[in-house]
Amino acid sequence: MAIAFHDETFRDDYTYRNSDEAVRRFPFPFGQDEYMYSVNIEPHAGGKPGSVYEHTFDIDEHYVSECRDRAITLERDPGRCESLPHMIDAEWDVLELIMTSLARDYPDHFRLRQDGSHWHWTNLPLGIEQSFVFGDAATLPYPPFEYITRQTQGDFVILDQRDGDLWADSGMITQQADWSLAFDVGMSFKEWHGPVPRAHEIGVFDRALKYLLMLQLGKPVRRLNWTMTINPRLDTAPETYPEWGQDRASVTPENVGKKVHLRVEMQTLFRLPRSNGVLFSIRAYLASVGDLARYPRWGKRLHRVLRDLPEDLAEYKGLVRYKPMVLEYLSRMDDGALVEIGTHPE
Amino acid sequence: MSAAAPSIKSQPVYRPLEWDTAGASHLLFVAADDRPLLDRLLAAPPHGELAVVVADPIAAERLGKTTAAAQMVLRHDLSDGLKSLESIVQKAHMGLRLYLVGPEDAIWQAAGIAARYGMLSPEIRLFQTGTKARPVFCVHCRAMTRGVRTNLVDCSGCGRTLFVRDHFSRRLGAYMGFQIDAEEPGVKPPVEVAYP
Amino acid sequence: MNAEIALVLSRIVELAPGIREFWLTREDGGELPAYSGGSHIVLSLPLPGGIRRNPYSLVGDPNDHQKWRIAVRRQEQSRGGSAWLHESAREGQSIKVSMPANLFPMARLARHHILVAGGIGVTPIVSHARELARLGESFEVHYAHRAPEFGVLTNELRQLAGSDLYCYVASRNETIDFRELLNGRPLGTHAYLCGPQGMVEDFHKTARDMGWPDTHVHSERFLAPPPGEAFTVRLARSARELVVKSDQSMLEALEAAGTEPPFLCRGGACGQCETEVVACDSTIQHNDLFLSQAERDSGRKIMPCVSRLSGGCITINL
Repeated sequence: MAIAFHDETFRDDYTYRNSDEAVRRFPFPFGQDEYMYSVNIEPHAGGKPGSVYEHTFDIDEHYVSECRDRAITLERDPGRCESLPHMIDAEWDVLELIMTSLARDYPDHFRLRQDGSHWHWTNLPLGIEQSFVFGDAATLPYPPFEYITRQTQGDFVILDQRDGDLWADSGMITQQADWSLAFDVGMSFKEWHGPVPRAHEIGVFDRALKYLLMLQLGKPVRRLNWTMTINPRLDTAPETYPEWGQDRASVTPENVGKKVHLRVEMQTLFRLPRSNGVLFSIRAYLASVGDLARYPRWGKRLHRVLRDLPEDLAEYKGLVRYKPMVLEYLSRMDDGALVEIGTHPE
Repeated sequence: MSAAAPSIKSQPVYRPLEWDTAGASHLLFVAADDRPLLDRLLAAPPHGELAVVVADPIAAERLGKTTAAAQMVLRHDLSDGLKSLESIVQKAHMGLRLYLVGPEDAIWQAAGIAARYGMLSPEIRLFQTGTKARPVFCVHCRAMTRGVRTNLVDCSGCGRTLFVRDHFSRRLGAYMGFQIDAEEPGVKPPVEVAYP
Repeated sequence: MNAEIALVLSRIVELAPGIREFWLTREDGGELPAYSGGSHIVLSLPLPGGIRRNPYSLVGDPNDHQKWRIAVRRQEQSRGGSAWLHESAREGQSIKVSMPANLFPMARLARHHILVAGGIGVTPIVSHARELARLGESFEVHYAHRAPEFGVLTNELRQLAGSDLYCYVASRNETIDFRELLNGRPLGTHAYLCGPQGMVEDFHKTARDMGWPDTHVHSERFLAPPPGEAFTVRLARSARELVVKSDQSMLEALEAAGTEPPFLCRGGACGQCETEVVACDSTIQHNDLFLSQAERDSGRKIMPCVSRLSGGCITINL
């Protein structure tokens, strides 16, 4: 089925909007009234038709505009894509995984012809035709990892596995929740997650690392993570903090429903065949609090989760300044009735 | 991002420095004259060849008179010391252990050189001594500001007032700095000496 | 559950007395995934007494999407797996195979690589040599075997390593002197060995004595599950009980009873099948290479792929 791609912006005038269907399929992350950091990993082996879990890489109505926003960010700061020299095999692994997945899952939009190492890639939504030789980086206009991730929604990190650890040695990061690739590239798993409060103490990263070191080829896994963002802005990097930091103070009781967005990351992890590395894909979904609250289950649950969120987590996620207004807004629709367990909208 | 963030796990922890008896040869790099430490180490040198590179004027003066290592290179500043270190590491063989003693700026620059020649963390021991001043990487303009002793510092590249966060990159050998008043321009905590 | 695919034993080649090479291809002629140098696959061999799952290193070209190759030596103390491959396996036969996993990967930050093969341990060394040659890395290969006719993959290695291939033939009294091999190597050199247990132990010991850190010395060995006394396993969660026969591993007994514990190597190396011990009225014989001494001493963990009990009963959290 062909997707109707929006023409919209994620900066300046912020014309980003979710269709009713996009709100309905939003990966709402809270199955219960209380949130706590956990490993919460499950197999990434498909999902209900139409859901964000259906395909290996989810492409939605925001695809074209998201790729355009990434290009703007890279134009201003090419350092948002980094790859250390020993990662070249992993770069080709990622290109192969994404091209074969998109061509299989979205034949109306993407096509791949493979004749030995001679490949031809067609990306209809972005109007790209490219013949190249797999394994020969000189036949592509960008290095292989940058080439393909410029054409895919979501951020990507490639982890190199060595000495019993995973090292963040490549990344395409233009829509991150406030962490800097330029600073973090080359870090070990636990260094990279250093700023996350609480999780280290309860052993989350020890368990996650042990698990990921054994991740098997052909058996990807996924988990959800979340934060909040003011305006439907993708580029909330530390690099541009001076540009968006003041937005947090722009929330008022009148605009809170439209301005404050829940930002959910579907994180997927894949073992890569040639490099033995791990691809970490971070696919972000944005929905305004007002849009989410159109489903009473979600409005009530979001209210309760935010209300009871430990202060250090609120601080880490950058919510402290405007959280009271979000709570005030959501409390009006929370009658206190029991909301049954589960993330479904209705 | 917040000035009140809890302690961050990427920040290095330095354990008391001892010789690594598993090493076949040893290279000690000294960028601060920590007298008790150096006297203790040099009084009981390890088995195998020992080379010492000094990259500090006071230590160079003192150790030049008192120490008899097989190979002793005395330099009076960090940049010359790092060059000497590199020329030794370049020709060194497997079995070498590297010991880096000094302020974080010096020892992590030295560790970066060792990494370029394929040394991994089990071959390198670091010990912070001397000034606690920090090298700070500006996340906005990527300039490095060295010798930072205060919680806030003006970036040497873009001039923004940066808060010095405890998040540390071993590859850059630096702490992260980000603009302190990005959310409320002009609102800054008082400047304090945090890293004497 | 571990992903398995059905492949065809499309070709069997006698390489030397007691050494056979097998080609595995897809039934529909389609493509196989690429893999990384040093990877292994697990074959589910249809032995008369039931399925026997054995790991074998992939040999050859990791970018060959048409076939996977393994080379198997008939083990004198075979528990049935290598004997079956040498006596009963036929071309055209279908066989279930796991996806490749890698417990012996290349160190991509190395400045120079020394690859050492002992006997049939040459198999992962060939795939490493091919990757290093493709990447234009600096490397050398040292290949020790019993007699000239057992140097089964010498030609292939010669093509990849050229004059940097060194062969050591025991029947000509040629042996590798590890001390000489590892002496005076530049920083950032990594050494890899796949071979018999004694050779692996010597190699590690020599490297350590010469001050090499463990991060720069890589070896691969899979242990065959040793036989022992029969013993009883109680499954705490499903309240069932089963007996591990003397020639069976605990993992095999669990699988035969219909449970599907996860595994990767089945040789005590990877840690994937680590299982929690709830109670035990006998002594655990820890035969794995994975658990730390502290974990062994705690009596709380067992690797059922190679470890067993000297009789008695063990209750596990399954």
